[in-house]
Amino acid sequence: MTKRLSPRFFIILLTCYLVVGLFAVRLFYLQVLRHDFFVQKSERQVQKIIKIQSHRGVIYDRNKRPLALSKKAYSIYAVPPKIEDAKQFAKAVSSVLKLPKGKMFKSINTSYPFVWLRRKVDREMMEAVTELELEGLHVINEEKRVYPKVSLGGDVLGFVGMDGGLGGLEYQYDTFLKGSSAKIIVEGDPRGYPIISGSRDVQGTPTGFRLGIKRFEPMSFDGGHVYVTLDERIQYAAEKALREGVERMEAQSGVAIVMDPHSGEILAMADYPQFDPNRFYKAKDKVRKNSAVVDVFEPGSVFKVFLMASALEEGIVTPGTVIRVPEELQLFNRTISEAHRRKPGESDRKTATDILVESLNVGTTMIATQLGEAKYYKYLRGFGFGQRTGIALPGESQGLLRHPRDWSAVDIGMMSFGQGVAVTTLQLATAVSVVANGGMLVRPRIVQYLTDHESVTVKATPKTSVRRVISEKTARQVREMMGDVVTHGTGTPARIRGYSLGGKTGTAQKAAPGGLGYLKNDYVASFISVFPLHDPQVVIVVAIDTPRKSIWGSTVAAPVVRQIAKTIIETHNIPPDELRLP
Amino acid sequence: MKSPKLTSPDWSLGIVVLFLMVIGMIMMFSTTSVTGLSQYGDAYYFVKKHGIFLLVGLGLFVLGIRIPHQVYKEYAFQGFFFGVFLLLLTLFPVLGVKVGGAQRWLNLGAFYLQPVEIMKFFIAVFLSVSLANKQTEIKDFMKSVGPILLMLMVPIMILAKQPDLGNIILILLVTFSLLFLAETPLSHMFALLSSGLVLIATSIMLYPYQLRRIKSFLDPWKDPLGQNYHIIQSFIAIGSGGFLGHGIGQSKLKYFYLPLHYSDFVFSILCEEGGWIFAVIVLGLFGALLYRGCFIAVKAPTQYAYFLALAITFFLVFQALLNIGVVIGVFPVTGIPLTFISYGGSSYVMSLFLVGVLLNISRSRA
Repeated sequence: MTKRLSPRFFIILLTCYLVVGLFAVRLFYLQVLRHDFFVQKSERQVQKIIKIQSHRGVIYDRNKRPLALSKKAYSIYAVPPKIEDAKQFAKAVSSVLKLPKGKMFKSINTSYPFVWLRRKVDREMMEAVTELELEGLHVINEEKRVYPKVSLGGDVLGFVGMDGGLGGLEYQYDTFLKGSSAKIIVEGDPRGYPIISGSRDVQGTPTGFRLGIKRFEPMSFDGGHVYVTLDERIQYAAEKALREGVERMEAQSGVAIVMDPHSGEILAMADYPQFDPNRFYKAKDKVRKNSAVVDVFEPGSVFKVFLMASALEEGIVTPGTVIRVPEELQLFNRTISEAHRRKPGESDRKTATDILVESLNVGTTMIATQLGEAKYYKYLRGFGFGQRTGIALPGESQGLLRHPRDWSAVDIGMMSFGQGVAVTTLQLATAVSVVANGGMLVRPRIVQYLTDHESVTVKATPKTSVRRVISEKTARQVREMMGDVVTHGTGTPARIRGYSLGGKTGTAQKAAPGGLGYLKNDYVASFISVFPLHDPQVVIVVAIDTPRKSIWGSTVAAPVVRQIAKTIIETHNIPPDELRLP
Repeated sequence: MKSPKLTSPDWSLGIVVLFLMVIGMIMMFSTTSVTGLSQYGDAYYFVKKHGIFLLVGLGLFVLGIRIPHQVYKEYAFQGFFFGVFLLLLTLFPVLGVKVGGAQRWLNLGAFYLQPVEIMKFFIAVFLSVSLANKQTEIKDFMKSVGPILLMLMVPIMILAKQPDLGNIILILLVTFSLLFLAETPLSHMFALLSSGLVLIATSIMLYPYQLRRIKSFLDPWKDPLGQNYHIIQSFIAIGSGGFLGHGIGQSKLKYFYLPLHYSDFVFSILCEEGGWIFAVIVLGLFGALLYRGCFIAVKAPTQYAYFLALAITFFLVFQALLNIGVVIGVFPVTGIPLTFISYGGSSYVMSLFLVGVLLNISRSRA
């Protein structure tokens, strides 16, 4: 009979407990000491990333007509390592995709596992590609930006490259339109099904929600819509009038802006030459930029309006103040002269209104010197010159308005008739709006409001009155003077039968590159206007660059304004208000 | 043969087993629901089946307490060959069921039976009877140890054919422990061990895949998605549990990352959900089981009962330790369930019966 509590018994027992202890230590090592390492491993294999393709929002005009929208498109790519016979592959695919065979062969003759063959093709081509059923040939869904009105408003809308907006509103509101390139990180099993008790993490900014099991869950990451202030019809008319005007005068380019002076809404913004944003890559940068906000020019005589407004506001003159205006004026080392010779026997006694109506450089110089540099500068700043208007368009210039301490003695005179300053067309339109709306500077707006993808407004851009620049009385006086410009001054070509219209012409020599004097034969012909004069509804500004057939604001730009104003009569249902016809 | 005096059974052993069973039930609810839902459309599919096993097991447990353990002694040989017969049946095509490359189960229509679980009980009885009888001749290899091992070679050969390496190792481990306790000369033990090593060496030479297995066991990170996927997933489950665990039911690896997460690898999920604390509690309970088992053996009335109690205790505890050793990467992967906790009918039912027999032994004290 063996002894039960023998040494061997204890050896066995001890060994067993030693093993148990060893296990506990081993577990401590795995679970406590190397805990972080394994947690990371566990998370990495459990976390599944779901990428969500967001849809780019639509750009609508003020009447909810789509100007830019996104359509389904298909992109074709190859996985070269999976291609069996690269030559055959290149031959078959290149004929379907309508691409050169040799080039395709070169691009797929690689070990790189991803090569774009052609992006954003239409449905037909995609179906032809899938019918090939080739190994290593794949299709993914993408979106293609489509501009249904082709070039309409192209300079304002901008365009979209492969990966985002590259110009205009498409660029300005890219992140908003694009939505969020979202990732949802869920904990899932190896087949990808989410784990019931697992966590859920969302990267990206969701724009839509639904009521989930426990809480609101993000459902959509789509981009929102942009409603612009443009009116498709006015935009079309402005573009057409501008194009015709530029072509008629064999000019280089031109810009036209139609703006609501009360709200600051831009109803039309045309920039010729135009481009088709659907095929933006075919146009040069020079064409694709929006000259109305990007480019500056010396305004010339249209600028006299703002001197007159300042002088009236300051009480230097009244519309009827009579001033002796010589034909030439010596201002320090410079002789100021008129553009047109005076008729023989014409009086040199001119009213302030006459000075504007006849666009007398000497007269404005005299008024300006009387006004003084500091005050003149203050008013010009007040009208918004030398500063960005703050419109939601990319690349806006602030123009050039120097501080009086940098002015030479003659500068005040030069500036009074629009030399030595540079403005954008939009700045001009904004400044004219001050006159048109009764003295308030309003911020020009291109975007009315933004909505999310479900058309719920997320942000409205309200009318912003920046400041009062001149009194209502002064504004009215300036408008009356502008009316005289059109009825019996330089602006007569803009007249419309039965309608009142106020305006001012400008014919400015273009500054030579490098700031050395002026180009002899290159002019910017411009026309600013308030329409209808007695109940201002729109401000129309047209500037045409380097016209050849004629150079005058009256002959080149005024007819364009007239043509646009005629459309406004229809869109705004404006009744005739001018009954006494000459 | 009736024992002169019957005391009440050793309830502290019962309580230890009860704790393990409760933990087993909790883990069952946690681990089987996912698979049950996805494969059978019923999250409680396995739990319900387990309920049946529990009832059968409790029936056998009561039988084990009631039937005097001396009865098995009378039918030791018949039982042994009955077990061998059942084992042999698994190798036949229609009766035997192949799961995951191993033919270990008998198809009984309503359920599968794993005969090795029955075999283990009869081996325990056979060893106890033999060792109790051959006590005086234990130093004579040809008369005691030799014949015993020869007899055991029969079921082991069948298990090798199935194959079921885990249970072979378990049977050999229990056998050698009992031989050691029965005062087999150390020289004999040593000779047996070295011949065993030679056998293993030749086996590896013949089947190179075993060498690969050992290699991968030594360096599991070499091929974490291939053949070491299983053990790596087990590590991740255990390691990510940390000190306190994710909480019961919060395992992530049980979502089809860790295969066999409700049977052989349930301990990994247990570690993930309950943390180190829970794992150590389970280890402690098995330690307590070993202690109570040995206590019952020492107090057993006869030498036969002494060996039987030890054999049963070893089968229960060593199986658990083998399982945990595999799961935590201390032993190479062999398929063996965790006693009282893993889902697995035959093992669970028979384990309850073994506990019943152990309690019966505890009733008759020397």
